[in-house]
Amino acid sequence: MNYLLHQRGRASIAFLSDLRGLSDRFEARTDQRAREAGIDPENLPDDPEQLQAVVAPVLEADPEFRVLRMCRDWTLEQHGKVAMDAFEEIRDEVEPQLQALQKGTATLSYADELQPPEYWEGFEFHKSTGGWDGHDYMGFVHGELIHRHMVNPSFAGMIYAVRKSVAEAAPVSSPAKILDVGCCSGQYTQGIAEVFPDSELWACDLSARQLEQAQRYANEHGLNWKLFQAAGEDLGLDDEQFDLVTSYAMFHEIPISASRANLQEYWRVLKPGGYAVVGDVKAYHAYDNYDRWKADYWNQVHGGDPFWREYAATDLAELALQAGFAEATWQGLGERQYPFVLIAKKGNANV
Amino acid sequence: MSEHNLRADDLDRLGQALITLTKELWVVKDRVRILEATLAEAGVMVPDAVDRFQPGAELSESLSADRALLIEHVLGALTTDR
Repeated sequence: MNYLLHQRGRASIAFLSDLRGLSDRFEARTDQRAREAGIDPENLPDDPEQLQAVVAPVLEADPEFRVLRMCRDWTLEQHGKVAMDAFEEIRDEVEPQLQALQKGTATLSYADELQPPEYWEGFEFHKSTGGWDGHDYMGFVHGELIHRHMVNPSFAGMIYAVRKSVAEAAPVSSPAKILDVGCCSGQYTQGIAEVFPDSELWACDLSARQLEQAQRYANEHGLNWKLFQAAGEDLGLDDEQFDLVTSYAMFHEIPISASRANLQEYWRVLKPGGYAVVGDVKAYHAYDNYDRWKADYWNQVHGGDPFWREYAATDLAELALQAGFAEATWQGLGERQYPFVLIAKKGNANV
Repeated sequence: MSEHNLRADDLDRLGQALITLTKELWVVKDRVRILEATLAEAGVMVPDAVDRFQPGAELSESLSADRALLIEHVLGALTTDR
């Protein structure tokens, strides 16, 4: 797609991105002051609520920390609105392209009678205004304007490579048929397609607007993805047809009861000997207790991610074994241990 | 800073000041729009030229530095005792 942001959108997005980056510099100084105030990871409690009760008051007494929080709150609350405004400035130019890209090699099946799970209905993930379906082109607004222009710069331009690293971690060489669950606008699906270019690729999500953006990407690149609207815990597909079922950055957005149901559903649709590969944010046990407090504070407490804590504190490998998988590991990739990846194998013979 | 300059009951006046600042910002925005229209009418530039203008590398760098300075000045005033 060809588009150039107009002045207001370009300047507003640049401001938002820079405000986030510049205020992030405060974090090292507030960490230092936490240490000076006697916060020692070795002596902090493990329980998340107790951890919050001990650490948060110390940091919140620091004016620089309060400004850091104010900046992060402001960027979280504003990013959706800013991106939607930027879209309206270029709507007349991009809308014909977006509509044209709905036609092509990829198929998209909408659910006839979708009953959205309680955790999804009406929720604004990451405080994105209106949620995943809050705009007629929310897939482009979120997947393109927000991710490419705001999120990617704050991850040093690495978000697409990080997503792809999860597909690269799958212990399969040439899976015939792959399912990506919770594909959103198709960014992880792109990584899967690059790693496994010869596989038949299916992908689902609850959000129709995000699926439409995934379809546009696939059509633009001549990819014959089979996209469909469904929840991971109720795929509506036949048993035992996929060699690999995978997901990225979805489990921390849903309650553990839904994660358990997802894994049971992945097991059901996998062929015997097939793999489930689930990439997501870092597990709490991989942090020291101060960094764990930060992850919990900025995501669970202040980041609009109500299920972050229960995801990060649950042993996903154990959950996969309970769901019926024969083998399972859950560990971080590389030196940074990010992202964390569950690799679970379905037994060769059904029991 | 030994004492706080502002107290909780100053918040309403801070809100009033914020609205006043918003009004002044609007006066500047209005003036920029008038300036663009005047320049377009005089044939100096085409309508929408500013909206569609894409800064080159040098200007982008300069804008980025100015933007960072503005943010740092405002955040600095919020966090630094004088």
